[in-house]
Amino acid sequence: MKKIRTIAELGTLRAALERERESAKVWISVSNETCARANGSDKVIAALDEELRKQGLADQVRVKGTGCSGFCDRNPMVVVFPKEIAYQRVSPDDAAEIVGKTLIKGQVVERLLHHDGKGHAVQHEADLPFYRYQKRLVLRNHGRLDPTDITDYLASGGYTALSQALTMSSEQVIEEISRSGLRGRGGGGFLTGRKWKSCREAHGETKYVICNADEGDPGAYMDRSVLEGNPHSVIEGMIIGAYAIGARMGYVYVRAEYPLAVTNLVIALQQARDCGLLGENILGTGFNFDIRVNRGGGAFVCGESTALMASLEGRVGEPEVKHIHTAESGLWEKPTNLNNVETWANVPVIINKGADWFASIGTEKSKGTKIFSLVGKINNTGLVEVPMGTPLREIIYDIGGGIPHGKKFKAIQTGGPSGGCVPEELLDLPVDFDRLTEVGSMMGSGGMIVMDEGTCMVDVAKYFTGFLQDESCGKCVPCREGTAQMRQILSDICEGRGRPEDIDLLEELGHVVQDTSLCALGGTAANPMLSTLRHFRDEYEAHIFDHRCPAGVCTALIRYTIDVEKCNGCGVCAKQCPQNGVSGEKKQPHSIDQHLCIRCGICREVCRFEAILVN
Amino acid sequence: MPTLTIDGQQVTVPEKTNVIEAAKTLGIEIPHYCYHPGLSVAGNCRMCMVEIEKAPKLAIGCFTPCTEGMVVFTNTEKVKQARKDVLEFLLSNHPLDCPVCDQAGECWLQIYYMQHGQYESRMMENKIKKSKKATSIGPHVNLDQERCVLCGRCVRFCDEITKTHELGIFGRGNREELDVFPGKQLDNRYSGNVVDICPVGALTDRDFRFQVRVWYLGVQDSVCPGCSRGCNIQIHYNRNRPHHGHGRRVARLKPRYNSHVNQFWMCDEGRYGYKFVDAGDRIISPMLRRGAELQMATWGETLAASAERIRAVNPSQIGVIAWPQLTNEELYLVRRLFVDGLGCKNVSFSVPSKKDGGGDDFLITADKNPNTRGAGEIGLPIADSTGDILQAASRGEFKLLHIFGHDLLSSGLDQPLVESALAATETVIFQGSNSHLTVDRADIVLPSATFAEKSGSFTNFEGRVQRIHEAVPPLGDALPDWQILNRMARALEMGWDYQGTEHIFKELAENVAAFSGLSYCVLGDQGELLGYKPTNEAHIPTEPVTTVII
Amino acid sequence: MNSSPEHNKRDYGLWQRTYVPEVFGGLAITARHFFVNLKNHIRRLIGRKDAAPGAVTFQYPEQRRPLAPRLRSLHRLTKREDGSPRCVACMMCETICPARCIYIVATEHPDPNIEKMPEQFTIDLGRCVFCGYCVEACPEDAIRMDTGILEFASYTRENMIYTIDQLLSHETAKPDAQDTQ
Repeated sequence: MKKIRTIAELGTLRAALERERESAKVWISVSNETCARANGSDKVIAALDEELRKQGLADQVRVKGTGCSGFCDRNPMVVVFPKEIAYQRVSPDDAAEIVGKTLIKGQVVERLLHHDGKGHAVQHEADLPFYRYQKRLVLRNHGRLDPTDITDYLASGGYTALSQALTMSSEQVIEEISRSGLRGRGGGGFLTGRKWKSCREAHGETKYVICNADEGDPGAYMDRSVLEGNPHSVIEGMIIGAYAIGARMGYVYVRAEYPLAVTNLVIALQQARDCGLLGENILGTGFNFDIRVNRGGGAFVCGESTALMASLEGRVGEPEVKHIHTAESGLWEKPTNLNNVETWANVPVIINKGADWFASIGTEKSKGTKIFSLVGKINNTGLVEVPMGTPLREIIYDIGGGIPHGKKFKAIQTGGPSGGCVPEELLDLPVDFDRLTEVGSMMGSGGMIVMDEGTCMVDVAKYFTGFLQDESCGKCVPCREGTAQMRQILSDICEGRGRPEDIDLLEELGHVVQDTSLCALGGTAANPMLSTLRHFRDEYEAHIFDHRCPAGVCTALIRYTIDVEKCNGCGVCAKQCPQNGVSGEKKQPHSIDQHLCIRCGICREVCRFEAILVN
Repeated sequence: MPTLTIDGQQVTVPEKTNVIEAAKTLGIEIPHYCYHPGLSVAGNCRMCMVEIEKAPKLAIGCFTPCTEGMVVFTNTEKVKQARKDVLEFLLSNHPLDCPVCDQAGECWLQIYYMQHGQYESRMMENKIKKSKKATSIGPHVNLDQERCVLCGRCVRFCDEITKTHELGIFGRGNREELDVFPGKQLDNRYSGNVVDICPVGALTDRDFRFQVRVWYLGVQDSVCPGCSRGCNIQIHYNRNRPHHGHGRRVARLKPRYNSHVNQFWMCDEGRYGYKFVDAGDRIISPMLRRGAELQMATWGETLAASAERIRAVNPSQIGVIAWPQLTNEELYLVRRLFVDGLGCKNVSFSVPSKKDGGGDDFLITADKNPNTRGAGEIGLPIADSTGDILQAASRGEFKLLHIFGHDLLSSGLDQPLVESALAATETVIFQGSNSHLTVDRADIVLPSATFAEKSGSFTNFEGRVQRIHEAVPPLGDALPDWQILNRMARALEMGWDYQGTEHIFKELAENVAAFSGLSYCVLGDQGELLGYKPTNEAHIPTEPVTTVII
Repeated sequence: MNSSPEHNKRDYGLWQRTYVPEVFGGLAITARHFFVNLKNHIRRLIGRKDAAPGAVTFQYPEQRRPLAPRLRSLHRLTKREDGSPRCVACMMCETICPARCIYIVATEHPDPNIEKMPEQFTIDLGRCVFCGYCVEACPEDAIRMDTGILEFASYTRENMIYTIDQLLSHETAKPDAQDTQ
């Protein structure tokens, strides 16, 4: 790729690329992110290529491995352009049919279409209910772009924001971001414009910008998806940020467990460098900036800004106490601006569309859109980008398609492990930074784990507290010892050893850990336990006082019995029981030997007559 | 200079002072583990929580700088509860080792728990087993990982003060443990300090291990005699339980804070260099040579014999080799007795040592004597160097040599010269504390006290005059050098008699210009520089006196 | 307060001051005991097992008084399963001892989980006041005063000094020794 020397040259190149894309209208996109690859998207691409070659269409129709457009549950998704016919859960064996029917004959393969609840097939991607209620700014090009090809990004209007920003003064760029009301998407919700401004105004020649891609929340993968599917949007945002702040060096701190994100990012950076969009004298403006990729060692706490910077400097990744904001003294004690992947990816959108347009989306204090990873007991698992202020109910039922198997919704856990659980009565809560904090949860980086009635909230609290205890760096006492104690007490409750005073003790410990910890990990470590205690206290009490797990999860507190009325003696459970603990005459109601039962629940799963009771 | 209110009392402190230090000036102690005034702030123990008006949460005192008009409370219910809870956390994973732990009695976990603790256990204390218990990690330091509260002071000490980086904290969460880096030993020249700053019994002193329980120890302020830096120390002595510590009366030395000299630290050489005080080679009785043998004698006999021999010779036939291990007061008496009194002209004090002292750019100096500067200021040597005196002696010019302390036969001096000088001199009087080769060649031996057994003052290389105090009485019949000189002067009918070291120092200050204006009162416990100009105001110590340093 | 001999003097009545009647009263008590005992002894001798035991005098040393379970007798050091002393030389007993009769010298234990043990543990019984504070203070249950040994008189002071080996060799008093009649 030729080096682009001026802004005008970039414009010419883009125009040429757009024309080129215009001429090749028929093409196939196959989502090829980690989530799709796990379901064999690689093989689908190969099969499609092979089929096209066989049919002699290889020159006319391009098969593009793209980012995941969010409906991860249905991957690999294959979309045939220009009609945008979306096929779900495509296997390599379907390649011949897709090419033969759709491409050649112009017919639709019904069986691969999405079928909504009423059995209607949906042809076009945009009509899928999953997408219909979303407003996709950051994810707008996911599923359209080949992340390893910068020309794709350029042709879709990429780096126009950079061109524009470079014609503005730094102050104007910061002003634009400030006016947009963009808040940090990593969880803190700090106003990005203000952060940039204080970093710009901080003393010192050398300044840094950092992209925080150390996404460690269980069940959250927005940042991974953005880096895998559209790395250039992040790079563009960082260049604009660096220009505004006056930084000459940027770092992306990304989890080593995201190999594809690292690969795509490194390719994208090299392409940007080759094009002259990174490096010395960017687009002839005299502005110099480059980005390096740094892979994290897998510590959750390194998502905390001071720990991340310590890790970048080569020290132990532990948070530090700081008087001064990192904007004034951060990496190597130089002014440093750290933003999350999603925040950076929002920057080009704002510059392109204008601050006022961006500020018109969302609520009074939370502007724009937010990506959530909607996982757990939900029909449509995937990444969801909605305007701030969208009610939880809409996200869960309209976009997420509700709870599978007709079960009852119980709670939604937002904000990752440090977040909290929101119960059903608060489902109409508009999701924004402040409202979630009010109910004892938080926005976090945007994880949403849906739980149904079969989820034990004490068990959930135990799981997340355990996660945080494992991830506690051990530097400060309350987090190091407090999380271990909370985990111990929660395990005791789950295993039937709960003591009546444990609830009060847990609450006390939780507040101590919250109030006295050094960093945000400790400061929020009690959230899962405190928020479940707040909304589901009765479950704790049932565990402790009645020795009963209402959701039937905690094995020490449940008993499996057979409903004599319903059991018809089919014997399936007896065959499956690993302990040979089910016995009974054929065609007669069976019974379970409680001494042998290890409460694995297999009998309940295999019983087709719902004859196995849990109590 | 912000003015703030702490627990209702107003105080004005220098910029950037933290709340712990500000409270200290008011005599309010804010409990803490990881904070140490000599190290950077880590803020991880969460013990120094204070309540600050208008602040949403409790703040840590170590990391909160004082600002104008700040209102701090250190003793509210909320603060007390936070301390109690943090202590409970610390204890929930701390072994019940107190009976065998050397730190017991001076352990800040014990002390704060007694003050602020939650006395009943509410938790399941599943203590984490760690790999290193009672393991030596260097020549002087023992590590017990289970007792460690992971405050990181020792790590910061090795990173910031010695810059040798031997220690690190490994692992994470409650599996975190302190250890030396693989292949490393904690063997820097200041390693003993990590024991002092360890608030618990995780790092203990191998030399002191199991010697004496700390509550049997008495404490006396002194100055390290190991080199010319004159680090301020405390002598910890055991006088009541002689069966402990194999009879060692001086159990250990600890650094004492002095901002002008050593801050909070001392070197290992000085720290473990006190063993000569209770060593088996101590001379515990005056001795006279009768025939070929040195035999025990009384002070009366020995002093009379010395006086007789001194009187018998011409002062120009007397050579005196004084000792820079002597205090200013004693060196002054050497001058009064031999120079001013007898008119002796051949007085020296410095003897080169065999090996290089190995000074560094922190505390250790190459000169291993605490009072070389003082000896020079007091006016010794008069004319010649020790080498010249020995040359003259070997030529048979001296009838009497009075040697203080030095082992000339193991020194850096030309050995044949020493041999011939000792052989050619009729009477050799040796005055010192420990026996060595030179003592065997003496005709009269006067046993003197060590630095731990006498009072007085040393002048360090910068000219800071600092007090030492008697911690234990002189061993056997030994006497402080000033008393020996005083008695000798009496035997020689010099016409002077001193009541104590303060008496001598007063006269020293009057007669030696460099010391003018100084007195024991002016010296205080932090010392004062030579050339001191008294102001009209009453003498106020420049720094608050820190006796307990953690 | 006022403890002068004057104050403590009893006031004797006329009856007491006449002296002789009191003497006979005393003799009568002695005689009664003598004859009651004589009767009891004889009844036992002739085989009346139900009769009350006669003598109030124990035929020491052949016969010993029963020991109260809480009696503080000669010290012993308790042992671990392997026979080594439980004592970890923490010096609690030495510190609390009001008579300063315990002398401990500590040394390293080969097992780092025990860490410390006594090299010497000496009790000077010539000084001991049998207060039992050492037993109370011990955090390891390493010292007890339950040997039941009460006879340790000696002709020399040196023999009153008990070393660690002696203290370890003592056993707890046997229950039957306490029941000796």
